[in-house]
Amino acid sequence: MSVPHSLRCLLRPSATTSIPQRIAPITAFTAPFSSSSILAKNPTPPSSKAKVPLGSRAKVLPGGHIRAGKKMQLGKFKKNRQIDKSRPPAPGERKAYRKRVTLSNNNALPVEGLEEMNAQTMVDPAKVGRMLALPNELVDQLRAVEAFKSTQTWNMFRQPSMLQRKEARELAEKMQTAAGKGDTLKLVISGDRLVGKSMLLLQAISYAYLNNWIVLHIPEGQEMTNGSTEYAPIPNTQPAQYSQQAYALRMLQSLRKANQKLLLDLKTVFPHPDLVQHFPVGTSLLQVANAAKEPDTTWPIFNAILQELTAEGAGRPPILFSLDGLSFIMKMSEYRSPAFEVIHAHDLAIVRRFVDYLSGKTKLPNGGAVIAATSRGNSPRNPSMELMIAKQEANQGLIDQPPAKEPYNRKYDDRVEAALSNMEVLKLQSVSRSEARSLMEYWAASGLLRTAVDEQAVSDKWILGGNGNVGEMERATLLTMRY
Amino acid sequence: MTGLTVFILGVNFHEQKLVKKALESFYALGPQKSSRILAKYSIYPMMKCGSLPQRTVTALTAELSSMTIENDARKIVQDNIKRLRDIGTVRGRRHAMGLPVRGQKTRTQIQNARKLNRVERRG
Amino acid sequence: MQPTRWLLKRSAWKGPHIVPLPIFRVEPGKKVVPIRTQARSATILPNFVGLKFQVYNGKVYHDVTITENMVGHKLGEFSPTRKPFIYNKR
Repeated sequence: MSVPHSLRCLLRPSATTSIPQRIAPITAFTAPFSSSSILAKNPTPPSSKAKVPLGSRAKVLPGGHIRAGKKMQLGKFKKNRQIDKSRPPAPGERKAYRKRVTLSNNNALPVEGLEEMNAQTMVDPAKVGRMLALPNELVDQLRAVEAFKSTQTWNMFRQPSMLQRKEARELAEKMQTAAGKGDTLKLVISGDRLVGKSMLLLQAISYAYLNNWIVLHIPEGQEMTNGSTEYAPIPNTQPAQYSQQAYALRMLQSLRKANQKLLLDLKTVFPHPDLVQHFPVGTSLLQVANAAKEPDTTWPIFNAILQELTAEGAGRPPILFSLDGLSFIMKMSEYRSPAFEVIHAHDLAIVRRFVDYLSGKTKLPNGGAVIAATSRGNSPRNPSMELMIAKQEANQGLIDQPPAKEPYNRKYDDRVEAALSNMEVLKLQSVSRSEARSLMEYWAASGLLRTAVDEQAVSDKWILGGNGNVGEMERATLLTMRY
Repeated sequence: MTGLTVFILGVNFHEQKLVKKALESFYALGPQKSSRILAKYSIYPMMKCGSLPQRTVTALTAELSSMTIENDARKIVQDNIKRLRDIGTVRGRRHAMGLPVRGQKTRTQIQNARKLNRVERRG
Repeated sequence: MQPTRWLLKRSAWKGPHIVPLPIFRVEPGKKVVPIRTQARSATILPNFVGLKFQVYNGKVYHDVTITENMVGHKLGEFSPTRKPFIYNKR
């Protein structure tokens, strides 16, 4: 699969290309970016005309595109179908392909002299606006909790590295103070589409790992609620709550993979009589976590682990409980109770736990952080969540006027408003020009940007990317060569 | 390639088939009833037959065998048509003739009626 | 029949469509005189059972003897208004 990447590296990244978008050298004219239309209006003609196949009626349009003329088609209504005789992909193969995260591209140039991300650099004001490389151990941990996403552009670079943004440092500092005081940081990351909310969450998780925190991460909020994992009512709960054993097992597996060393050092302080296997007090938590192998037996173990991790006065490390895609857990789920009523997402036990921490109803006794990132991708509209976030933004002075509740909108949800009444909002903004510059220098050093990174180029891309929206900048520079 | 199969009420289902769709493959068991059955046994909507535990499979079979589905349901429909026929209504006659029952035109487009409308109705 | 179709065909508060018909019982042994009517939309009531009607179809009067099964239907249902098409080859 590295072939496309290698091709991509050879290409010159220019937006207006002539039609055969293969490896053919691109000689099309590109106007220097300008917001005034005079320059763009009279472009010098392209040096060599796009090749037109002889004898075809194709036209060459001014932009260099070839539009095929109308072709006569005999036997119009007979579909000349080619039968694909290759075997269809096995069950699960397509999904695996869709979900696959490639973190390294051997064809990209290695970038020399990048600083490694560590606990100090993340809170160091001098490192704001620098690129920091993720150490290998951290990458493994992040991969274990599925913090990387396939939509992010990791697959273009030699080694995963991240821009240390202003907000990332602020967030790391907030986490540091919260853990120092034994408080819980309750935070929601909001911001525009493609602005880097998931990446900021990734940085928060990185900070947690680098400081030896326990991390419980829910990579996609929608997986909890869209009716794709096992659920079962928990007996003796009023109103009924629902366990999600398969998901709990997944969380436990990623926890023990990512926090292995830490779990080995932590010893149990409670006897757990309700577990099938007997664990005397003083057993390492890793051993308890390892006992979970089947979804059917996971739930008590999951609860026991959480009880142990939140034990007071046992020298437990701080915990980061994070979730991406907040609006998916702030609505009715796709599950139904045995009485055929729709289950509210907050009645799912894992979600309930997260929401209780986020609202401050229960506290993390040893300090830590509860961080949720909103998502602007395919996430559902959630008026209550939007209202509460906007209200909190107004409280923090980020916007002028807190919005009023629409009187006739029936989609508000009291439970959501209660859950989000007591949190802080981090509104992620665009990157500054200096941050954009160091990002572009990194791209250039990786061989993905073949222009000199000067003031002009930076400001071109900064403006093209919606005034410094990182994702849009990536789109405008790195992802222009789709083929 | 033959995958594992799951027996529900004497019918074999491929392990990759959605439980909901498997239930809906029974006559007289539609989206409403099937989702109610799923809710009753806490089966998540996207569950496939292969991941059903054995006790749920037996419970489902027991549940289905207590419902009027398949031939029982067909019998009800057939009885209704037969009654109409026996008392000599126009509707009964139309069924027997294999023509549309509710006043539709018969000049064209009566394939479905030809296929379905009969005294011993099948589907 | 689906229960909804019974329920939805006519508002409940209206009750069944009752048409005053000249119904009288004849003593056994006497000749039964059929009741000739054009009220095709009259609902067949339980007390009609055993009577003979002549129901108009727009052209002729069809003889209908009411049985228990017919209660709840309309008189018109038993008197077809159309002639089935039969292709006559001369």
